Amino acid sequence: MGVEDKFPEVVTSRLTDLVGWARKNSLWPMPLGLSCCAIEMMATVGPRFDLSRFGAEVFRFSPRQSDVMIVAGTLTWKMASVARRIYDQMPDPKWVIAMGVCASSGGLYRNYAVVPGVDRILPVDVYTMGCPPRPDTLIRAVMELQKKIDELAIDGRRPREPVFVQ
Amino acid sequence: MADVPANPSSSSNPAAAAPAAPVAPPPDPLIAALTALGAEALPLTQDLLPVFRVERDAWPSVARALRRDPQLSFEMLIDVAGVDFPKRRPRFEVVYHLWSLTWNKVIRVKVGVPEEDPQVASVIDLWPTADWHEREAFDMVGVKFAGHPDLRRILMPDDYPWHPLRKDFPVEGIDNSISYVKAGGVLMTRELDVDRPAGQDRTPVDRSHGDPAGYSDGTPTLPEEGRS
Repeated sequence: MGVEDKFPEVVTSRLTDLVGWARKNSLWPMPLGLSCCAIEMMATVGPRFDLSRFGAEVFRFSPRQSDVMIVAGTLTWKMASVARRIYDQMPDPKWVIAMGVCASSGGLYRNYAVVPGVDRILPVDVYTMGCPPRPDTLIRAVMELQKKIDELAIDGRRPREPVFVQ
Repeated sequence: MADVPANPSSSSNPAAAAPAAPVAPPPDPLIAALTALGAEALPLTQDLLPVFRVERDAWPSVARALRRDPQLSFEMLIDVAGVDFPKRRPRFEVVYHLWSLTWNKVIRVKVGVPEEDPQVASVIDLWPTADWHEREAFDMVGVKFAGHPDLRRILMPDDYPWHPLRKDFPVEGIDNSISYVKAGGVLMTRELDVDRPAGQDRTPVDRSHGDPAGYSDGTPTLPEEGRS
């Protein structure tokens, strides 16, 4: 009847591949919108760019229900402990996308108030350039993260090398 | 002149049609009233706001008159700002912008605050909006407002030890992560930092361009080695 008729009755795979395939196609982002990057993040989920085409459209505003934190914007030291607590509340396995130059390196802010890169307090998997990045860049970051999750071992050990999206 | 139709308004007032001669503005009753209260009128600046300097001890009574006197009735406090002039004495200044809705007047009042006793009377009982403005001036410049019911920091963390808008405070900060670490946060080593010793990942700031605004006298009062 449907497309499943074309498939054999039994598909063999490694469990690692199967779990990785499932995980990477149902990312639930935790939006940590801190400044103007959050506007582009919202546009990314909207109908024009439609992040749901890549299986990451279910933005959850509770860390308990998310597995990828998108740090979108300027993180201040006053906000740092809040961001870390939100990250700690997310269930494993979890990932972090540093969206934009402020989250990646502090950006144009080099002063007493701004964290010079969220990698000072969080393990970042994907860095994204742009001020703010276009939605295309964020989609690319999600796709790079999906590649990374594919490589994830079943015991949750993550590949340590961060990815830089340009 | 005869064949040009005259403007009705100018025909009724022949003086208005004459070329405008530079005329001194009429004496401002506002300035007279404030001078009588003990405020010193300062020369007009480019924005043409009347500016007054008030002695710190006279400020509570002047503020009360500005708010309550029906001839003045400055109902609205637009802004309170703390300013640091490191070379001036007194070093700090608290600048108030006041708006009289009744008379449609805006004035600026400056109160000097010495460094040895950085304190000025709060005006929160006259203008309740002064609450957060004064907290911000306290947080950024370190001027205390006597009589403020809840003078906490408003922008920086509660346990932050410095006042970052003072001119001798380095803009790149001193120990920026201090509140995060005190709250139990752990700083991570970045992947990019592994081949560099800790603290060596920042290029020094080039300050060779000097200080064109003349804010600093070139002697930082904070220890160089404490900067991050």
